[in-house]
Amino acid sequence: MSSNSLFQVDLNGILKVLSDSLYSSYQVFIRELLQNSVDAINARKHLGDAFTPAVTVNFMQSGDVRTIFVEDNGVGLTWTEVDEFLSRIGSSSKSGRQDRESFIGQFGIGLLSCFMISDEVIVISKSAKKQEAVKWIGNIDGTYQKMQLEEEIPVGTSVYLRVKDSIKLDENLLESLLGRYGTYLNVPIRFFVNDQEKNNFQRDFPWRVSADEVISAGRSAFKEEFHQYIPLKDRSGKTTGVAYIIPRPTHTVANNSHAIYIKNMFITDHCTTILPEWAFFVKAIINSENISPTASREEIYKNQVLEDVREELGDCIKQFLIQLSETDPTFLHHIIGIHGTALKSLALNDAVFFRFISKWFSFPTSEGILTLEEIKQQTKTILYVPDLDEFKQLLPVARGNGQLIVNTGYIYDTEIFNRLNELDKTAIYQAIDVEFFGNILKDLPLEEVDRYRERLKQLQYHLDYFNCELEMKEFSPDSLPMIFYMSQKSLIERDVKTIQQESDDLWSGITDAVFSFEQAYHSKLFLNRNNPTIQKLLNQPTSSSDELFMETMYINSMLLGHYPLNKKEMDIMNNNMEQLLNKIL
Amino acid sequence: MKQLPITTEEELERAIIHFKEHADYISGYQEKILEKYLWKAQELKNIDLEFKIRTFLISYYNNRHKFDKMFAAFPWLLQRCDENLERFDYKHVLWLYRLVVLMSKQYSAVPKAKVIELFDDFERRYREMGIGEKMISSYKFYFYAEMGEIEQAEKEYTVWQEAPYAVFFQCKKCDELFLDSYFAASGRYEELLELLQPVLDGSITCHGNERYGLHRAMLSCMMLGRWEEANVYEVRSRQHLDQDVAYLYPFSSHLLYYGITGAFEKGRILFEKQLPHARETAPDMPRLKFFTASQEFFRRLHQSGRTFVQLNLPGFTAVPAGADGYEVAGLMKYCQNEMNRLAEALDRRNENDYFKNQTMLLVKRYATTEREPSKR
Repeated sequence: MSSNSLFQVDLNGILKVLSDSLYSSYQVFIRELLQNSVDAINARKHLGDAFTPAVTVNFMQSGDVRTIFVEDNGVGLTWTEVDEFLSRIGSSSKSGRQDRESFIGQFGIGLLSCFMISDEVIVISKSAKKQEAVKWIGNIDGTYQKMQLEEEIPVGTSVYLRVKDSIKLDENLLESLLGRYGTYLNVPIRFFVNDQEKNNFQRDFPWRVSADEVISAGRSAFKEEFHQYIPLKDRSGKTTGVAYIIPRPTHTVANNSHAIYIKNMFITDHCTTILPEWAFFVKAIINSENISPTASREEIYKNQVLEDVREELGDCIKQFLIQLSETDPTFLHHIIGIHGTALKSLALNDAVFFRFISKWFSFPTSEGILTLEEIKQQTKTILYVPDLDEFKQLLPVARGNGQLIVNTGYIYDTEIFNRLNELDKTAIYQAIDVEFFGNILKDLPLEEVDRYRERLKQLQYHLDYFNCELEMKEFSPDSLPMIFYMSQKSLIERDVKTIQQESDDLWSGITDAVFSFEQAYHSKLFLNRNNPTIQKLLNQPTSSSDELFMETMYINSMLLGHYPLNKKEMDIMNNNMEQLLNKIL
Repeated sequence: MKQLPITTEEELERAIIHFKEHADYISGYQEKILEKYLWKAQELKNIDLEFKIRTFLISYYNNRHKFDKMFAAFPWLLQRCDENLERFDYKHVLWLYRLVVLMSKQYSAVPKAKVIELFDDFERRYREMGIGEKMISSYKFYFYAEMGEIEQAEKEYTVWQEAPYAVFFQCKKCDELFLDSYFAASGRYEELLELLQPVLDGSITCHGNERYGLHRAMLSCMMLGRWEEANVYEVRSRQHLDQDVAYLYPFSSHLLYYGITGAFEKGRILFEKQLPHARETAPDMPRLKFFTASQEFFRRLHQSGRTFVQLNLPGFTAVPAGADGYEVAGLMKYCQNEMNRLAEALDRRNENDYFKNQTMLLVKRYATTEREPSKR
């Protein structure tokens, strides 16, 4: 035995699902009604009727009773369509049509949102296709009534809602919602309060009007003092808009929200997926005919079309910057000054863009902030320091010796220089550290080295305890006695050694078996032969104060370089301090 | 990630939180940043921040297969917990301890007595914490299996089967998969494929199971002559691997696949990338596996008629290189010597001949495996 039965639908349950899970707020009812009106007007246009499209919204308040009337002169509904499209949830007049692309709604659930603000929805409609008028009353308990109207009414549809007491909705809020959802719908929307016209909404998207309008719309939408914008258009021309350049630095992990309209209907001002991630220096207003909304129409649907649109809009931003380098290089400098980080990130992900933009990038150098082009004018062997602390340490020496060095310790900069090393054959790019730099400093003449050989050996003896190697160089400024260097690898080995010394036999033995120590010396001290104190040290005979001098110099270098001191170094530092204080006294 | 100038504890703490939220534990650039944070915590003498950073570092070293650094850094964490159990996250340290125990026996330089002592300490701590028999038993099984004490391992498997679930750390989803490496090593390929089924059908994706399971499935299919499946798993496995990381176990299976299928160019690139790891700090067991697969790769390359092969291996002088590249027969011989040396070293440490016998068996098995001509 078998039977066919229909599902029983609990309207209250459905409404709870809509309000709790689908729609973010009851306020979307006005969007749904406007959308139905606009779709109805488009459907009537398709019939070839000559009429002037109009939507009116009237907010009536008498004491505590608030009623909203939404009227349009669209295609209207016939007696049978009312059954099909108003009384059947999920059935839409637009979903099966060949011309469905010109409609905003398609899911057949929009009218249900009205039940979030009203227990009763009254629809009066006259179809443009048949001379019949119908009244439909839907109730929150899931029942409805339908009747034919005898009186003559114009073609179109009117919806009447009595607002529930629990709903906070006044004329101002309704006006603002109409502004949000109705402004760009291409249909004049007139707003009345108690039959008195208060406002009307119909504007074209600002990029179709004027540059001033674009800037003004951006400032109003995002509350930012924009000065410049980039026109956006995908390849099909179905998605258009503008991207405003944010007039302040933005963080690389900032996830900018963009305002999205689909078929002129506002969807969200929190869209983060319409532009590529690297475009975190712009905020956009976009209208699209080809991307789709989700069922809630509060987000956009993530599919291949969206991916393509995103890439194509990203190309618009890149092309704009490339053109700017020819038409207004000063402004490009200005943009890079503010959004250099974002553009560097973009360049690293796009080889073509990299080749164009890299010369415009600025970097901190020993000679101040310079563009790559300016750096290359000064030197064809570009030395860059990937570590911020090491750059700071090298800065006075580089300046004193007239050597330009670039600080690439900030985000993306080392990667940019590594990439330049691969692509730009007009210069040599060399990553350096303090040791590398120390080794390109001027060596002492051989006779000088011979003269100080024994003395240096004596001084080295006091540094062996710290595993630090001593080397003599000549460099400017003379006031700088030394440069100290400890590599990352040395620090690791130092750390492992310390842990091993503090460990029991079991762990110490395992470390011995597994870890191989490679560094002969953990650190290096380049002494400056030109420094008066160092000269004094070199020229005096061995004395008991050598140890104190060398240890203090080593510890001081460690502290200045922000290297961590281990326990024995701490003990020596305290002990030496005491000795020095005693000497003063 | 931006290199931030950090001068205070608050700044360092913020930087660590930022790191935790944005870092991926696979990218090589993170290591330098984390180590810098470590020096900063030491400079600021903030032991709690140092503890946090070191736990991140251990996970990082493990993911990047930098086991030597992992071993060297781990005792610090254990010592701090032993000094003050309440102050530090001991449970997390015990979670990391299992990684150390797993890897220790894979180095032949770690004496057997030390491996046993380490395992005893691990077991004692797990029992004291009440972690439970099942967890301990699975590690004990590994211990016996990888020390070549197969009878003991089989007995331990029975203990594991009967033991109740552990209180902590147990991932019920992938718990039983600990047997996969044992099945692979002992040639129980049918059982291995059955075991790995949840990984193959995508219902298990946790705990790196795809990275270590898919290549074993590929290997099993190759050995069983199920080439269509092997081809699929080869592609899937590769998606979970980074040739710049010392993934010697998985890449050994891939190298073998490339040798048997005649994809010599792919194999050449892979060998070039992984050999430096196999020559440096990697544990002996994966190195043994790598050289076993490599000798077979070069044997087949030689058999195909190639006498020389170009390889970019700076500092590699064990086989002389001329203008035409390296002699293929020389590379094969080098890999065989390394394979034999590592098997002997492990057996010497374990006081048995498990690895020698197992390696001989694998060499024979690999040499006699052929791709079906119809599937070419």
